Amino acid sequence: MNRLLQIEFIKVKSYRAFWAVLGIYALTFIVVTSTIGVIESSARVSASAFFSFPDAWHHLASVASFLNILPAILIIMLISNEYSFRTFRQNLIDGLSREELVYSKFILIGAIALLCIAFIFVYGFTRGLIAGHFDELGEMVEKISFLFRLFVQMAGYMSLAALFTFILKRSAISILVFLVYVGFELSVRQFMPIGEIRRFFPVSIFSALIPAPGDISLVAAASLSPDLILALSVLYISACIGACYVLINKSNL
Amino acid sequence: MAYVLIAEDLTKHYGNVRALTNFNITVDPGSIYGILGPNGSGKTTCLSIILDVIKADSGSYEWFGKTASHHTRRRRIGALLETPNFYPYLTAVENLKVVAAIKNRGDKNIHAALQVTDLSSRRNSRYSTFSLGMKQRLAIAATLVGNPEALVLDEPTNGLDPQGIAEIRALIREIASEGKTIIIASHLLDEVEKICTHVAILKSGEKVTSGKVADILGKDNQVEVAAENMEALEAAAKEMQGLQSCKKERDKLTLKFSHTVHTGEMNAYFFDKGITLTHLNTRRRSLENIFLELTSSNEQAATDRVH
Repeated sequence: MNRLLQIEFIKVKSYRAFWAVLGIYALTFIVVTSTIGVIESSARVSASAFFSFPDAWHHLASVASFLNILPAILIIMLISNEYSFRTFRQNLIDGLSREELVYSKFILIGAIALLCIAFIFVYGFTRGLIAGHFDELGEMVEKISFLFRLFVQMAGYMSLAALFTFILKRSAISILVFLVYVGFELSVRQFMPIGEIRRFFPVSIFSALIPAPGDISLVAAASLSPDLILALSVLYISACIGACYVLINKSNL
Repeated sequence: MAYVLIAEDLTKHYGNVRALTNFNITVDPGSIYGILGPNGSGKTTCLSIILDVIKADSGSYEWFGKTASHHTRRRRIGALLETPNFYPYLTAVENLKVVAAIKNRGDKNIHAALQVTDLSSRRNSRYSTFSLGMKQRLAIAATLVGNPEALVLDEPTNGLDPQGIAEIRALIREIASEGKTIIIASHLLDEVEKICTHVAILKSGEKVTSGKVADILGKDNQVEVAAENMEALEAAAKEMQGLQSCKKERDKLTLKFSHTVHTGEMNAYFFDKGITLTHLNTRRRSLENIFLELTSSNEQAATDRVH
């Protein structure tokens, strides 16, 4: 695993687009969370309440859950690159197994999610110390589990994006289909009366990982228990890994 | 180790097209094995299968015996298949580091690989800025990373200028002299003739002949003769034993025999018949002649050779 991570790191280290997307992610996150303070009067929560522990982790995670599309697009870029530069083929020739081709990308997904979480943690911690109110240390980490749920959520979106790319191979078409699918699920959720099943669709499950703060349940899956949602998310991610493996194992590269 | 590669009955169809039919090959350690064939004859399909990029419909192959799983054995092979495939936004060194990390053999010889392929001065340039020839040389450098025991090269001199071609050929010979095994696919006949020890010739996915280059080239069974009296010469020639064909070409006859001929015997035979030869020359067949003979649409010529 260490070796696969090392290989992926060499690949992205000098890839400017990779760092650009992560930069955009961080910048958007900072702008959005900072704007909450500026438009304080119309916001549901005040800036100081927003960054107050322990709810700060929940607030930050729910802002981040709107930005998951960025790391998902990043993963689509990185996987479709391997197809268009025919480097999957070359990696295979050089001695990676087909399994390793898939696993290296999911290790990369984990690494990107960790990187984003680390950023959010440092950012939230700093802003919380400056602007927030807290009484004791225990309070600061009380709801830190939201960051873990955010990690699973990011990994979930990226896994789905990876699956689309392993199927479609081209970046533009993969991004399009991914966005259309996410939009489709949202609209199905909002407008189509297809009963209970819609709550179990992957994007519904992933988005239910972090319910909106203040118990305003906009999400259809919110009625499921948090543990069930987490378990189903992990199941969907595993299913994505399995499906990618099956796809790459039978294809000529 | 009895052999480096053994492949049996490899067959691959693309829809109705038979890309490769019952292909067999046994490559001994230290040999330079040429796979020769016109465009679309199945050379790349064959190499793609033994490198696990394409799944064969049937047949099997083994590298280095059954010592480890497929992909770990592939790490002992340096391979260039069709086009050079690299990350355009990475430099030459970074691209080779990816290869070294995959091979898990350390990146100590990256600089040596860049040096022998004459890319040292551009080692920190992005791959996207490389010319076609430089890309090809980087692909060859990549095959040397991790000091593999065997090389698989598909058209290694593609896109190179004459000087580059000569350099790469010299490099291949040098690598072979270190005892490494090289499998090389090409449609360039003199390339194979100049550097290979063994050759297999493919035509429309089928192997038409294979063996040592020396054996295939070495059958001196054609001779050119000329004399003052060409009519008498032709009449006398047609009475010779083992004659397969007698072709008249302008001022000389080309005689083809079923056995190896010696010029001394030939000269004595005609002298006995009262004919003084003005020209006598055994024609050593070039691989080009054999190749064209075998791969031409003339099926008869092909079957002649095989039997």
